[in-house]
Amino acid sequence: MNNIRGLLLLLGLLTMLTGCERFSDDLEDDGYNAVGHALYQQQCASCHGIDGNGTSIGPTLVGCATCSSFLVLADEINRTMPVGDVEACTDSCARDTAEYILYAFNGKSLADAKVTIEGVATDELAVTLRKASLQLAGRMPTSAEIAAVEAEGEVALSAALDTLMQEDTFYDVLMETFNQQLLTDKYLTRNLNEGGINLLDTDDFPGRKWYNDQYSGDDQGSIRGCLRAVTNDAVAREPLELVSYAARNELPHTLFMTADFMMVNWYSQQVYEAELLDRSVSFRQLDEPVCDANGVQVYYDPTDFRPARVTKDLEHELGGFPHAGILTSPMFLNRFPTTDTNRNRHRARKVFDFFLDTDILAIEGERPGDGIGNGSDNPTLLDPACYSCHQIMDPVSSAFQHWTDRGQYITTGRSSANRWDGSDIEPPGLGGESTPLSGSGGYFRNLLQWLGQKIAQDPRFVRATVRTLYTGLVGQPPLIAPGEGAAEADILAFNSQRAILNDVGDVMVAGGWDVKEAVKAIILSPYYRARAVDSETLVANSHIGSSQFISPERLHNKLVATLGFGWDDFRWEDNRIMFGGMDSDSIIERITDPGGLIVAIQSRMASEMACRATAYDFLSPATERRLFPNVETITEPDTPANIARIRENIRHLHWVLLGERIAADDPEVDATYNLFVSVMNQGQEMLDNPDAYSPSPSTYLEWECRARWERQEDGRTGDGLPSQDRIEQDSKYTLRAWIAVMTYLLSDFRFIFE
Amino acid sequence: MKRRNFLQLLAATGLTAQMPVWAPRAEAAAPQNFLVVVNASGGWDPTSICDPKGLNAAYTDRSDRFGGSTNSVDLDANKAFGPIRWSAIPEGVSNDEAVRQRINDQFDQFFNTYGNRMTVINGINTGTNNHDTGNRFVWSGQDEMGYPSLAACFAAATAPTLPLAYISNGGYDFTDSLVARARASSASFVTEVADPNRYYDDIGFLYRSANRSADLHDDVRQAQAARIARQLNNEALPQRRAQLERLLAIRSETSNLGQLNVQLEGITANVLRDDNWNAGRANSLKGQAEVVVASMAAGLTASANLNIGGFDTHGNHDANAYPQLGDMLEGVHFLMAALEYAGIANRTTVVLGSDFGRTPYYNSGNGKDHWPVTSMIVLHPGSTGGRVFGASTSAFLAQSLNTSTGVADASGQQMTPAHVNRALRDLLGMGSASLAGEYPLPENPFRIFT
Repeated sequence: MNNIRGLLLLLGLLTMLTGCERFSDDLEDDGYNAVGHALYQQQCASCHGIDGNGTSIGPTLVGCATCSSFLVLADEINRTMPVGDVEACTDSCARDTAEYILYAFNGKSLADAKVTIEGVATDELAVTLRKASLQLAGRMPTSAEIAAVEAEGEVALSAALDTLMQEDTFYDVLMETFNQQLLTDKYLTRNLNEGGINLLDTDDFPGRKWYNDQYSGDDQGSIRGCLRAVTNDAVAREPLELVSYAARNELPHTLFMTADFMMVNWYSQQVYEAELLDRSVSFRQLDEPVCDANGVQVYYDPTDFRPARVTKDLEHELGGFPHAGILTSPMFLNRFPTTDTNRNRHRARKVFDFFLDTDILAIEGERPGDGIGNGSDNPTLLDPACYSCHQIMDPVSSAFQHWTDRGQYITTGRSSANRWDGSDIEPPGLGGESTPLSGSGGYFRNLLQWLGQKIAQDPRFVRATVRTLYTGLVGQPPLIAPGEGAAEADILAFNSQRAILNDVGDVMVAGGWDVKEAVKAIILSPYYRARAVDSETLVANSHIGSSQFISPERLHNKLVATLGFGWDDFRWEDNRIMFGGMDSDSIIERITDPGGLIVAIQSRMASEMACRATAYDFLSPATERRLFPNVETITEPDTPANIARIRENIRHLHWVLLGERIAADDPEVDATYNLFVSVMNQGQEMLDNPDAYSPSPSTYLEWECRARWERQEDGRTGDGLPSQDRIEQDSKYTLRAWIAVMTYLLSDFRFIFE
Repeated sequence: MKRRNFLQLLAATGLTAQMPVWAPRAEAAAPQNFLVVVNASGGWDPTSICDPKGLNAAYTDRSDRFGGSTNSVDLDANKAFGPIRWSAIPEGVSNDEAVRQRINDQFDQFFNTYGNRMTVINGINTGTNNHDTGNRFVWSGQDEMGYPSLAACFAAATAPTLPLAYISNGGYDFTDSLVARARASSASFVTEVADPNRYYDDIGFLYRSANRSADLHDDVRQAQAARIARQLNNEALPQRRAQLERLLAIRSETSNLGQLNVQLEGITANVLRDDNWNAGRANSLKGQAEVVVASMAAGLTASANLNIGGFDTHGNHDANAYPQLGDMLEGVHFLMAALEYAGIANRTTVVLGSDFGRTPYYNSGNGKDHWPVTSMIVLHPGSTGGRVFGASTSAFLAQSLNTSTGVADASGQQMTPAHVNRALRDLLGMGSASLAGEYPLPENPFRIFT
């Protein structure tokens, strides 16, 4: 990341947050356009609302994606509006209408947005950095990063975010974010054995289970099993790896729609027999084998994904298939399948939702009351109640015509095995534009490549991408357009957010369609950084802030980052799902509102992890400890200096575990200190009078709490430690007092709500 | 939509901030009544179960399969319990006669066993062929987004802060934050977390004596309670404050999660899956039922969604739909047996439904596509003598119904999921709850249950 470019983008965002007027530069006339007003009322208001705030059948025009400039908006209207008759408003009509929309709904509304954002106070930059570090990179910020942010402010924060977004964990987070929408992780081995591979047609890809062919011996089951899992996960992750690839290489995210390749690693390359775009390099090999069993070692790095094309002959097609980003991904096509009667409409609906930020179902205002229609033979073409929606959706459905229900590529035709009938459905296209089919510029064989290019150029793709990222980062989707009669406060809240998210999109596009720019802009926005809201200034405020119940995967990352290892109970998917997780199959939505069971799970986790992590942390030298850099195992509050050290360590724990920056005399330090002292005093009293208690108290820690093993990242115990290194005794009860403190902090609200 | 639950009331009155942190934990009252909804995911075919049409040749212009009939098998006068009728099993289900016999027995046993406590609601017009809309409409009474599911409303109205107040295994389970939704698939994990400080036997990670006269974990709990009260008082971000309020209410109650496993052990030992009725059938639904009933019997749960998929039968309808329907009925029977064992069957209402219906004719792939007319089945704690309310036409279209009798009546009106949900709310005693006013449904003139 170029720091200068990043700074300029950051400054642009901050300018935006102050509500700077952005539209006057290229408006032909700043004033009210009466002709445009009349045209708007005649042709636009029924869908977009008199006040431009949208209706159930038309999106809001306040801060709309194409409202960034007069020329862009006029061109958009000229080409695509009104939806039902794109010839009805061209040239001067489009210009007048665009001028009115910018004047009436954007200049005014964005001025209002400035006021609404003023009611938000944001976190300190270091707090934002900690939160972003944990979320994006699964680690705590380094001391140097914090010091730089405190000394240099936003520029250093921007640079630190750039660093975080170059780390491997960020790309995993990015893929998880997109998976919440695509749900293709359903096919990972942990959910379905060979879940991805089995979706591939065996005639197209006869080597799809190459590991069975290469290692067919009865005594080679273990190596087969390992390679099967690694290969399947590579196949399953192929669409998400495309997102990661673009971000990692600072390539435009529009590749998601337009890439004329797919992503393979060494394992899935065997499956697809795909041709690497760059044939001059080999797949990376690791020092340690990935699969090592039955005397076979395989070293290829499963994270080394590269662009490749399927160019080999398929069962029905010569020369492979034309790739179009995720649109031609076998995983995407299977995750959103079709049927003979559905005619790819499910796929089209998802395309509109995921990539064009358009809910097709919201255009069902004219739907017949009985859902059956007027009985015509072909209602989607002939029944007005049906075609108002289908004329928008079905061209996209038709664009998928060469792809079967199982994602196999078979071009349609009279003698084709593909039974698609184009006579009763709109031809391929998008937004009123038909796909050119024939001639040298025709797209008949590669309809989805045409569609992908059109989507990539569509301003709604910017909005859809920002929506996906915002939802993943902030923990809730952007506000939906308030309906007619909505409160003024709700309208202002929506307008403010729409304006800011549009600028996030602008920043991303200006940065070369780099999703990292959008991630950074969202993190810098008040929605992510909000610490407090003045409810009198900002009446509609429940959407302000990014406090969210973290997923089991994020909790695992946080435990590893703060304690050094995770909770072994989270190795099991059932347990993760009970903590609100998802499997992308039957459970496709995370729980965001924890109930009693989840609170109980957290309490249990807190007890176990406090027990295991406390003495363990003292194994390291003080300067390398994550949790206890200021005290030793036997530090008692017996001198002012020791009291100060204990209190300082408590401050450190509040920061590391909860993200709280509190002063030495803060009441929270007092409360935690009192807990420490109370438990220590009671423990010492019990040790002094062991016979008064049953079972008798011991100077030894409970077995589970002793530092006598290495801890693996997944929470299981590793190798035993040499006896001289172990920490097993606690004669002053100080370690157990710290365990109590750790239990208290790990079970805190702020540990599971970040 | 704003949240309107108990917690909001506390927050609005400021009670949460004033709640003394040393106050003994409130014992959440165990629910007196329970609700289980069973969702046939994908859109079932009512004519293949409780609204059969037989070989009616009603769609010769649209299908050449089975003479354009709605079903591939004729009506069977023996498939009846009072006014309730159910479908015979067509030969196209399987070449294996034993399979057909098994499904036939599942159907017959279900309706004959539970017909006396059953209300079948036929001829419901969902007005949609879309899965999401249909699912939402059938289970909330509102086709637009924003209404909580019937089961969420019930839990919120009866026991919103129980640790597992509303268990969902899928289907429409939107809560609008009225009540927390829980996944509860592993009883052993629930048991493990029931006591946060239990290391082994009665030994704690933090010391506790056998008689609990010394319990260091109590210090942690007290510190937590004081801390959350301070957090609430100091929190300046409304979003976070709302989260804290909900957390406080949950922590203010005794969870008693350990009872779940006690109940589960009793159920699994005494209500055997393979004895009710077929070995190895409907195990997913039976497994869901075991945990849900155990949790209800333990006083932890008020309502639950059970979910079974496989009903989106665009191809080979008979071979796919009938086995699933049979297994669904077997799973519900198992649920009823477990409820009986747990002693709460007489306090539990069970509702079966699906996204919408399927076409009253077969497509070229012998499948059935989406159709807006559907049915629901309700099992009551009390006796109905076998009741049917509502009717579709002989061609499986929705029609105007007499609001009192449910029979076809040109001067009546069509029945929608909004009416059915309104009637269910009344049946479940939620009709006058403030929640019902917050999520209003149109007046229901249909006397479905009375």
